[in-house]
Amino acid sequence: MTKTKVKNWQIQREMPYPYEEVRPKKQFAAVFDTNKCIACQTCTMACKHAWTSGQGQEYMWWNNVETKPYGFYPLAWDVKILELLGPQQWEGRKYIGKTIFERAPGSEIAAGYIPEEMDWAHPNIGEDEPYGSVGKGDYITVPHRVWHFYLPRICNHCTYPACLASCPRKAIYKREEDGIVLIDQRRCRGYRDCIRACPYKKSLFNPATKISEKCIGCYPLVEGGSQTQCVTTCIGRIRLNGWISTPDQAEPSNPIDYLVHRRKMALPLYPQFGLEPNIYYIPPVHVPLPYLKQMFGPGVQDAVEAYRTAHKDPALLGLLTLFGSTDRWVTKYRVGEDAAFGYDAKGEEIVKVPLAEPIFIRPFWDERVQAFRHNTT
Amino acid sequence: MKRDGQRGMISHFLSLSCVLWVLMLFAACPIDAKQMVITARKVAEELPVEPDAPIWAKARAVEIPMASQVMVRPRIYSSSVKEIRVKALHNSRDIAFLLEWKDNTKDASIEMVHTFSDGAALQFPSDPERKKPHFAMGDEDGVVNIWNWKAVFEEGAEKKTVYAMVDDYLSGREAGNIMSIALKTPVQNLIASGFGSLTAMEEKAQHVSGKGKWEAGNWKVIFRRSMKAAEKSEAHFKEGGLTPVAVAVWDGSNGERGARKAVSTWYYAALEMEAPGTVYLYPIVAFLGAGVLVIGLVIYLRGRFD
Repeated sequence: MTKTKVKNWQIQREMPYPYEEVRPKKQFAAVFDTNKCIACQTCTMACKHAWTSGQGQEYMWWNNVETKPYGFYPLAWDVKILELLGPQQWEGRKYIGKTIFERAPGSEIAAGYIPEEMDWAHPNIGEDEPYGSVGKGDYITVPHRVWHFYLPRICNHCTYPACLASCPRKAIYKREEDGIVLIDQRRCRGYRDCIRACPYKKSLFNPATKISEKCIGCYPLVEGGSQTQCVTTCIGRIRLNGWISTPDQAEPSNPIDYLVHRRKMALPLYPQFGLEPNIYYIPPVHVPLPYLKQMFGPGVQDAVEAYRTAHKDPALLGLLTLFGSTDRWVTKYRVGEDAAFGYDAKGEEIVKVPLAEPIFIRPFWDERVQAFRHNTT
Repeated sequence: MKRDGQRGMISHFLSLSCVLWVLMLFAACPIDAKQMVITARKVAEELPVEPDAPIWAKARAVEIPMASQVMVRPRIYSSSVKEIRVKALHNSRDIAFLLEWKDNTKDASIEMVHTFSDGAALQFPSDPERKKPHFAMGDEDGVVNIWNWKAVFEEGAEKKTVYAMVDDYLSGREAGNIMSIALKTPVQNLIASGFGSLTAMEEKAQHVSGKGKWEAGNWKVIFRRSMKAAEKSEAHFKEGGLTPVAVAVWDGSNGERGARKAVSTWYYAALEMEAPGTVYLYPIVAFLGAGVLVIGLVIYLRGRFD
């Protein structure tokens, strides 16, 4: 095992990693609200059209939405990694089980596996497949006894990427300016160590170029101050891009910091893997907690509680209205008495969203046309 | 009496040394030098293009034991290929190497995410003047030139698929990655200065030709290049000279790629030259000279002590 230790705030302890802790100046992040996702796959298609419409990319979905618990892309990816990881114990908010770096065999940097060809063949397998079955006289409880939910996934642009750690050629790098993780298309030689090591299986092999590719965090858009394709095209307005700080540097006016660090309502996906992933999920409130705890860590109960009481909190409600309200990258936000405001990096207002939609009541008698208004069909 | 005893001892010692010296001349070969040297036979004709050309019968094969790469991660503890046979030929203009090894599976396609290509590589120091670099991938002080053949780059190895593409953009190709560009040869010309540093030479410097043929559980792969190094970092070959060479081999179906491979230590490629008559004369002169010296010494010492 590697001797270098780094701090991982998501598991609240130090862990081994082949490189020293060097955080980027800003870290690309997003919050996905799973409660609002309807698996329409608009994000999936938007990404496909933007980035993976070429030769060798036919099977490739940098963004996918899978039904949990029975949907996977590639097949069984998370249950396979969870099995490799062994028991995953938490002591309060501290993870005392093993990360994939700690579980690595002596010949490797990280525990992992390479999915086989057919594992990628059914990207929407298990769609709408619920857990459990409806019995006679059954009724709905919260959490639901019969449940499923949709999990939208992109590359997590991890703070400690396993793909980067395991590439023997250092062909993968994390950008200093925004923390986006990229595969150098000139240096990669297609060894597929990144595909083996990434537990989220978001490194993909292109047989036409004989090298690997991955989600590029729409960096040309990000550089121009815009949010990514998958975020801006989301018709359910479930996503919001932003920069995330470490907990000690958290800035309450930063929408991502507020949701993740202040309100602790958005949680990382499988934090026990040890990668400090940077896509944060508002967990689905109707799903039994043990399953959610395995997927999002021990903070899940508080997160569900915060979401269920969000309607009582104008500041939180205001922030949630900013989701999907602008294509621009929201660096700061403020909630006023009747509207939420989003600001760009220069501090200029880029969006104003009313907290409540204005209501117009049209009188029964229309003065202009001198007639009653009827619902005529 | 005491002096006599001493004399006898010295005399015995000298005789014994004499015998040992003669024995050493005939027997002192701790390793078989022939097994460390791949002799590139000099031939008059053009060098072959085919790995099974009859001219290869003229070259003597050296059997090289191969070991699993366990020095750096990712390691492999059980690489498939245990032994490889190497032959070489030259004609004063070009040099060719022939590698032969057993491999029950022909892995020439990487159309699937989890399949890897068979491969082989020859490694030479870039700078013939310096001491030999690390035997696997060179080191910071010593650049190596690597000729890497991959079965997947053999013509016709992969079936051509007609795609209904939206666009024709291939990021690897646009970036100029030689993995993604259709080279005219299945051999890549690369340099390295340590593990993880392997770098492709410019596309115009991809002039190591080659061909691989798999038949009945055997790979035969030929590598060929002009003896003259076009680039400074390329392997140097001189008629009558020695060039260090190391070998690596990959079995795709055993998951071997990159550092997961079988490696050899340094060997030497000796490029045969027509030897002048004096080459045979000098050893005889030296042998006789040394004999005369020792016998002279024995006679002199005996005279002194008598």
